[in-house]
Amino acid sequence: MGKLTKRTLFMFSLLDYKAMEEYFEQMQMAAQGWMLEKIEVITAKFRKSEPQKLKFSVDIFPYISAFDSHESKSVTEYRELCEASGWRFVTSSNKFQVFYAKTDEDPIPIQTDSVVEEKILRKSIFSSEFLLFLTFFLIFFLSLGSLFPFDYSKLFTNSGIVSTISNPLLILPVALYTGYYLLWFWKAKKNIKRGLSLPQTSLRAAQLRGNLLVFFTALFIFLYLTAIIADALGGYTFALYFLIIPLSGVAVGLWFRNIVLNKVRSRTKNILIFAGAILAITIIFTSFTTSLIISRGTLFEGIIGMKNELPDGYAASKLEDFGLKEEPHNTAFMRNSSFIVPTNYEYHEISTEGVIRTRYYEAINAAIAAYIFDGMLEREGSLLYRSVSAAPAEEWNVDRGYYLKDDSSMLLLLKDKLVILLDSEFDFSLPETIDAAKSGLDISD
Amino acid sequence: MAREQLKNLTEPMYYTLLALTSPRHGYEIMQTVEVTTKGRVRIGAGTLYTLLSRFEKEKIICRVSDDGRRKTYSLTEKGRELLENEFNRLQLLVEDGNSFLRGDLHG
Repeated sequence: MGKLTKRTLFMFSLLDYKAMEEYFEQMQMAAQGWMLEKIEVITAKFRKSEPQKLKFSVDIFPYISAFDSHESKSVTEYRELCEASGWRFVTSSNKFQVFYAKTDEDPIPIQTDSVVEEKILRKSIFSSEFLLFLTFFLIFFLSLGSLFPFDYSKLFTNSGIVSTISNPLLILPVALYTGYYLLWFWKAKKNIKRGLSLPQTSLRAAQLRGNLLVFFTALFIFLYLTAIIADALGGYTFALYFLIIPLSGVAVGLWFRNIVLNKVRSRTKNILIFAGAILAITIIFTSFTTSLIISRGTLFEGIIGMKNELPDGYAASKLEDFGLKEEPHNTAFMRNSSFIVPTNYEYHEISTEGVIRTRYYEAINAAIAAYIFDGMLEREGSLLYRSVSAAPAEEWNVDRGYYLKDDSSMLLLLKDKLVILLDSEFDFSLPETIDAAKSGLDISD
Repeated sequence: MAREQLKNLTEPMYYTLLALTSPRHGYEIMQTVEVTTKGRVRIGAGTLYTLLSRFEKEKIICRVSDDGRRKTYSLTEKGRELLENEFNRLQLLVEDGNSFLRGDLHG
């Protein structure tokens, strides 16, 4: 005996309601005969039945939103009216209402006026999916701001790189859907003028579009997860922390869907519950994060991957390189890694005698290193109390070098694939400090 | 905007309002319209639901009873007036048509 139920991926958008009818009819006529039972978030559940020819009608009930129970008084009245006219109700999923009839029964179609039907669709889409598209476009245009000019520091982590490329990537499916919707409404207007019925989307087109959306979403999730895991392995454990936001978003969404579906409540009440949940999560998240940062405890250091010592194999300047013998009372090391800048870290030492901070970047090639070097020169050099003057490249044994402060206590170096920024209180133009720094940074030869 | 749209009623709107000259519930309206027009005008359940919600919002019709399962509607004063106006307009159209097409036109 085969399975009694079956789940399929169900990625139809509002305008695909006619294609959905075709899909349910096909499933019903299949050799086994699968009758639709339930539509869930992104899947549909079918139950085994006798193969028979049924006529499905998927209608859109516009007066229902994500904040409404699927059994509210108005929707029950509507369904009863449909049933009185000969349609049998199967299931609903938000605005979608699914009915069927036997082919010999020939009930009056649920929608008989294309002007009314077009209005229903317009109302439904402008209050739901179109808002979503607009939000995407807004995020897209805002994110363009961070691309031009491109912020070189995004290259230091994998999640930074992925978030930079994923926004233009995500706009593709959104643009596809928006284009399809606009085209549909334009055609609908033309058809109505000519007294024709509304344009229908074929099942093939709807499924192709649905598959593309699944592909893009899966790609997006895969890239993000890979980047975050790679970041965490490379020392940037803080990336894991960012998972909390989308995960809690999905959790709240699913929980809220359950709440709405399981009990009939007024829309206002549901909206209040939702707003309350979002507010509570935001408060918990922010207060947790804030207290974590304020505490500066071991948990915080663990989360951001901070260490108290310079691990072996990492070159950085130390106070003792410059003859300061006192034990530093504060040392900290933080490492990131990305596939473009495989090694990048920061190390500092503080004692009562002085301070020294090293920022060290090793890119995969010299061109990227030069790009980072130019970016840092521009950004760091333009800050307050900074002034840029050339450092003697030969003495430093580097390709290019600049002092970023009047007293030469800050230094930016480029050597092949390496970019190094030194910040201290020493005068890096003196021959003995140059030698001390070179040996500490391991760039003498 | 909405008033302007209701100035000229579509056929489904006109027959729905005609059916509501006496109190009827949703399915009765559908049947009345189909019988009256001998099947020429059929109003689907979804279309009717939308029309009724809109008429009710515009106070053209009102609920006369609501026993929890079935709502019965009837025309309001405003609705009656609107329907009469439309009826008179249509009658004018027919009279003018008569004068030209049935030879009543003299001179």
